[in-house]
Amino acid sequence: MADARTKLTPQQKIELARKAIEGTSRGEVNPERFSRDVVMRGSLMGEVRGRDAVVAALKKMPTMFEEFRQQPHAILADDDHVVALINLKVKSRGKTVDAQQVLVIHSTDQGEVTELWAMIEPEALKQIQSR
Amino acid sequence: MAEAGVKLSLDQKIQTIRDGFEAFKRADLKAVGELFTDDAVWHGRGSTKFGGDFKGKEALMGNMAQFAQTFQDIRLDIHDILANDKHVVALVNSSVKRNGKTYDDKQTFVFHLNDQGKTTETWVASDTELLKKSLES
Repeated sequence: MADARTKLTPQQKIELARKAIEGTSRGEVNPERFSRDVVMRGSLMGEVRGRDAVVAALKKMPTMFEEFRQQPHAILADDDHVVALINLKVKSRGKTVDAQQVLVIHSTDQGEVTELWAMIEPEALKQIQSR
Repeated sequence: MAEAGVKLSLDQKIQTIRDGFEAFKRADLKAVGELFTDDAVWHGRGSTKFGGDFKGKEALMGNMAQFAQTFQDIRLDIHDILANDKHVVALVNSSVKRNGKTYDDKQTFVFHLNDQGKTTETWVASDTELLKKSLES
């Protein structure tokens, strides 16, 4: 964890995002990485507000499926955003859906997530939700 | 555009994509076309006529021209552009009009650029259900 006054570099934000994405696939989510009033807008979970609710939703995600794997294809960052291009694999009731997911993360200079957009192509999402 | 053999910096790649959006905005499709390699591929999503793969500059420019003819008041406002060695990603707030209705979306364009700044591959992540609805209106 960086000191409260230390501004993280884009590369450090990329590494934090990579670890967080890997952890989420295992149901491991660190609450300290989110601001108290974080907002998540996601194709799978809708809009979720507040740290506790977002952490709970992210922990729940992998439990909703037989398999839920987010494999980062690339993660990019600048001072304002971290963008993760993810190959998502979801298995439910024996059937697998592969989809491309885009995560757009707004974070503070210290890497605390304030806003998270998680977008999956709607037509792939329909396949996932119809399982 | 850089000369052959000159590798573009990330800032130059970002500027190239920004220039492409500006050219589209002023309906200069010739300038947009110059940003793609002849064998570039455009990966559209969803089941509309704009979905699927468009292979080759002619095919992808045809798709783009058709999009421009299908909608009115097309706005593609760049929220941010990020780049690394392999990708340029544009976060775009989009708005189009069709038959009097306005459709707003947040789109992500992912570009692969070669070292000379020409786009070889493009993916578009957008709300394809909204696109479908707009075409049915």
